[in-house]
Amino acid sequence: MVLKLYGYSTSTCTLRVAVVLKEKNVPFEFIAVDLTKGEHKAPEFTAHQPFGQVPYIDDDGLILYESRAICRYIAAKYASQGTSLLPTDPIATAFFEQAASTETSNYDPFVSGLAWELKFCMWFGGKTDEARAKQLRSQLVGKLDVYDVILGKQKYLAGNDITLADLFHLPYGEIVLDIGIDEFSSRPNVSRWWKDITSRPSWSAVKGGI
Amino acid sequence: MAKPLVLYTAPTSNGYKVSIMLEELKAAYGNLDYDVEKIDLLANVQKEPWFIAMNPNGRIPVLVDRSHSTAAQPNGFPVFESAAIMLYLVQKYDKEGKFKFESGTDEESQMLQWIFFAHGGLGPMQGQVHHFQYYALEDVPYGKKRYGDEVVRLYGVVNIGLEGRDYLVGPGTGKLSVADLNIMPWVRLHKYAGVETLDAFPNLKGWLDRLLDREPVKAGLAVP
Repeated sequence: MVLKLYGYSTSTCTLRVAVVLKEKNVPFEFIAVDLTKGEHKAPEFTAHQPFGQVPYIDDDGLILYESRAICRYIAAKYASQGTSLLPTDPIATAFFEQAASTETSNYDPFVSGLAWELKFCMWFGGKTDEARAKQLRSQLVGKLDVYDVILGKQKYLAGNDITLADLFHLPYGEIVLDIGIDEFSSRPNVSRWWKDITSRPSWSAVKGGI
Repeated sequence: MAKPLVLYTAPTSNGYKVSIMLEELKAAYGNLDYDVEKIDLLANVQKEPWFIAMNPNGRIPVLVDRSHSTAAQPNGFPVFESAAIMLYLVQKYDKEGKFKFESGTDEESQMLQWIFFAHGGLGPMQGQVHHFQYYALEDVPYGKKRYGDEVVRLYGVVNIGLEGRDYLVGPGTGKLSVADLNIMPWVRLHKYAGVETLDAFPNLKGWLDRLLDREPVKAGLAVP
């Protein structure tokens, strides 16, 4: 039975899973969850994803949520097909986890916060907290300065081979650029890396929405 | 991408030296495998900071031994300079000494003599022929003649070295070693260097044909 991806067509976390499915050549069925109608908070949904968030997958009965966990599952299950995105030996795995953790601690809070303040909160009748947005941006700047050092020594975040950790950056990176915050182009190594990961066919296939 | 070795390379003579060496070792022992990363030289990828971190010279080939990381090089131990890479490979993977000679012997010295001859002579001189013939932004007849004549002279040197032999070093008619593989990919491009035929160098011609006929050589020439 083909893997089912439950999500929202343009949701960042849904796209995070979709780009990995494409990169690994895994066929899937996309089932749209209507967030505008609160479908994600309904009991039929929360029975599978108790936090009421998208996405989750149903892989022939296996239910899994948290986009990064789903991505790791897909990369491991389909290790022998598509692009290799997850190392197997202990040292390479350690460097991968270091890079993946970097994304969650030193990137995601700032880009997702900026995305909320400058784009999404308006959808829910909220107003941009300018002070918070300013602080988030300056924090992001500091973090990306470090990214530029790391990416000056190696091609990707975990080493010289691409891994899930690089792809995890795509959805929010794209949104932040879209709202006019470009802290990538001015940093030569970050810029090189960003150009590399955003030009992958797997990302082009999903970035406009599934 | 979990193979213990990764070769950053491009379709050039120095790149082929290493891919051929890897294929010869693979065919002889089956004890190694390698990933290939083709480097786009026209886009100057080899000058990007992440590449310079592996090879400050910013040139291919570079071999990275992923099974051997250090604090300074966590992605694996990088080796640059084609001859150094070949010596690294035979040191690590040629345990029965099929492509090298016992340490401290005359043959080992001879192998090194031919390696340094190629490294300091043939490679750079033929490289300069290519530069002045195909890449220089202005026409420099003096440069073309100087290096073109030198390449012809150097082919004559190898021809002398192959007199009565099948390979440059080794007892009897010799055996295939790093000495031969470090030179062959350059001689292979003799036409490109303005030496239309190798008829004037019969030993060199026979040796080149012999090497190009080998399956691992053919496999190495297909990488990347």
